[in-house]
Amino acid sequence: MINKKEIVAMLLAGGQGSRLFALTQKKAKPAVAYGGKYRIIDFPLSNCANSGIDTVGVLTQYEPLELNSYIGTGGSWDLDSLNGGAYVLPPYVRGDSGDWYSGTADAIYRNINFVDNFDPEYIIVLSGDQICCMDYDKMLDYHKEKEADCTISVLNVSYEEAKRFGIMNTDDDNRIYEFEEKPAEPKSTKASMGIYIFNWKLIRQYLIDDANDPESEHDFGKNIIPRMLEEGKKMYAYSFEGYWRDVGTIDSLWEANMELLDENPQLDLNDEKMKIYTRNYALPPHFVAEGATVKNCVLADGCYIEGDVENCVIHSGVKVGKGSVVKNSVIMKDSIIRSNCTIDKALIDEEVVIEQGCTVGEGNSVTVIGCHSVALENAVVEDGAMIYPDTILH
Amino acid sequence: MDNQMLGIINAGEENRRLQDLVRKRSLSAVPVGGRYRTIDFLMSNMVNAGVKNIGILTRRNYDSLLKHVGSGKDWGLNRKRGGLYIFPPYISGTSPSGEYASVMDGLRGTADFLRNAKEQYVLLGRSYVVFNADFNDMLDKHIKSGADISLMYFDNTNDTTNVDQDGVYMVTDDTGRVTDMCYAESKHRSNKKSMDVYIMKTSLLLDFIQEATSHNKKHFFFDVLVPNFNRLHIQGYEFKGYVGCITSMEAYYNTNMDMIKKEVYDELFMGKRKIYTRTADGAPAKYGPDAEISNSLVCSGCEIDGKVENSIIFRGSKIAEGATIKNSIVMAEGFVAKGADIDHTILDRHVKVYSNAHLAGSANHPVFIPKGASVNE
Repeated sequence: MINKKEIVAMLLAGGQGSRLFALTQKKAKPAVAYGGKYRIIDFPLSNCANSGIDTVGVLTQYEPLELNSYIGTGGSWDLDSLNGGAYVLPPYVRGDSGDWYSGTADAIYRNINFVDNFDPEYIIVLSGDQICCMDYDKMLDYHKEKEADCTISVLNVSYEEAKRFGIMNTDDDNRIYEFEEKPAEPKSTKASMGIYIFNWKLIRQYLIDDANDPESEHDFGKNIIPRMLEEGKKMYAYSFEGYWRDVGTIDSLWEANMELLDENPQLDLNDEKMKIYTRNYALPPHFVAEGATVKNCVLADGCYIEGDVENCVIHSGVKVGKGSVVKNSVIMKDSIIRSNCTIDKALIDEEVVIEQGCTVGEGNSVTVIGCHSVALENAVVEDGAMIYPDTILH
Repeated sequence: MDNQMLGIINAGEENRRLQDLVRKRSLSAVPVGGRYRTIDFLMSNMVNAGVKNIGILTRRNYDSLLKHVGSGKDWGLNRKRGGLYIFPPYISGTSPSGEYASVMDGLRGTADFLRNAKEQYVLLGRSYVVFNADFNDMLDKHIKSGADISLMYFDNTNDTTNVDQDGVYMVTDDTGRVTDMCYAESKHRSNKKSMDVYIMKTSLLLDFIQEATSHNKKHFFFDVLVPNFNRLHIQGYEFKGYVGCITSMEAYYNTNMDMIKKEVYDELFMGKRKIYTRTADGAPAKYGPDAEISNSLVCSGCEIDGKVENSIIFRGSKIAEGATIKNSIVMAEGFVAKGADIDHTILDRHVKVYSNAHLAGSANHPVFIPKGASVNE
């Protein structure tokens, strides 16, 4: 117990994000690109660094390779500190049993030894598939102030939206007395963000008990939280006011990207206090050639733009050729769009090649092209199409 | 090839013709090409050739340089074996003022570093040259030639960056062996301009340092190399790629402008050998609905709402709607307000140009606004 920590973060990054279809065939949802140079997981990792949390366990499961190599030592997020760090924790075999993580609570349960190493007072459970800038330290202060057993971060949503979320019903002091999953008639609009702070000693026992319960689905929302409530634990809702998006669907991912193009976007990626770090790739400034136009765009390093781009989020290393018109789209890392293409309202994943004269989408619904796909010359990709990775389009 | 060569960067060079650009920083830390400092090129070239042990000689005004290179992490140089070593001047028996009186004086400070190094060869360079070279090829040719020293040069016949063509030139015989070296003023000079990059055996450099100490020699090539022309085999190695020598304000301006040429940009930055620099974690650049941009380089952290043409906009700069920037260099954290109009101008870091201010220089004489200054109407 040399390296005692006040708080350890456990980041759940094992989800596939199946509603992102082609974008999560080859990588887990937390590794999906966003905002020109980021991946979704950059947000919780950076939040940890900015909140003074230097010990983060990253629980991976689905397609972990990309995430594991991406996180590396955690140095990109300043997490490669003495006595701390980012630890990738895939499921492992122990004794004669080994299995996948069967739920969010199970994932933490099976890493009890990891957390015990740091003998923390608290753990914070984070979700690796949301875009959110949050100072976890403030939430911890609140947790301590309330002398809570558990604090759950909530977002105030509209009444209609509340029907789609896990809702916390609280008294005037924000103490939670009831939890309802997707209520038909919500009594409150405090939606759980899936971010929890627990007192480690207490949750440790709950996790062990839960693991021994054959009826349990080993899920925080479904099993642990309701049981704690039942047993009268002090549980508080911490109201978060700030940017939070669950980019679980193609439409919501596209919209979250487009929100960055607002005149004063809600999410300020240049905020010095809550800077979002990401892995850097030694790329030069982007090059906008003569005759190109770039309007209302987010444009990352290493791009070479000769065509016309408008209302787009263009990730690092993308090339857009002469005479091509790209609108309302998100083009991810290292994709190449050659000359005279028309692209409207598309999400184009990494390392896609669109040969000259292609048409992708018409601007009605979002058209998706999975990574490493190639659209051959003059190919037409229908509006709203979902193209899986490695496809060759004629 | 790994671990055969160590690197020494003489970052203590001075050049008064760079004026205000080097008043508050050393030449090695002059911002260039949007997100780089001059030293990035030599240092990245070394790293790309597998050099794992790099010593940097500093002289004065080196705070910007130290902040930039840090632990060497961004170049992969924060190693347990080898890595980055900084040699600032210090007071010693031979240097009571604590200042390096000369290059040889500075090199003397690295003697222990050289003696303890396992690398058989040393690459010695200065940081004012913008280039992307394969130092392994140079080392190969050096070993094959059997020379004592190899010296990198380029043919400056078509070099338009340095109009006054200052520098050191060399004469070679048919085999490429250097037979003479002289300053630009000499009528004997050739078009083979030295890039101040040398490869030699580590032991030979140690000999030179010892010799210079015992005979109070100051200058590396006039006092050490030239008198030894007959005794030493000095081989010229021609570098055929792009070279920008930052030796004057005009050359600084021209070198930056060269980077907005596709072929130079591709050669320097888009090949296999990357140029590394300190990362700043700025958000990707954002362009507003009325932005107009053409033939320009723009870095992360920028917000572009005005008109930008043939220019380089460094990290974290804001160009307001209604501002016009042409043929200019806007260094990091710059701000140009609505109605301002700048042409052939260099804005150093943190410069603010307020509404309706007009600045216009020419290609030969760009206007220079020093670090942190504000320009009003």
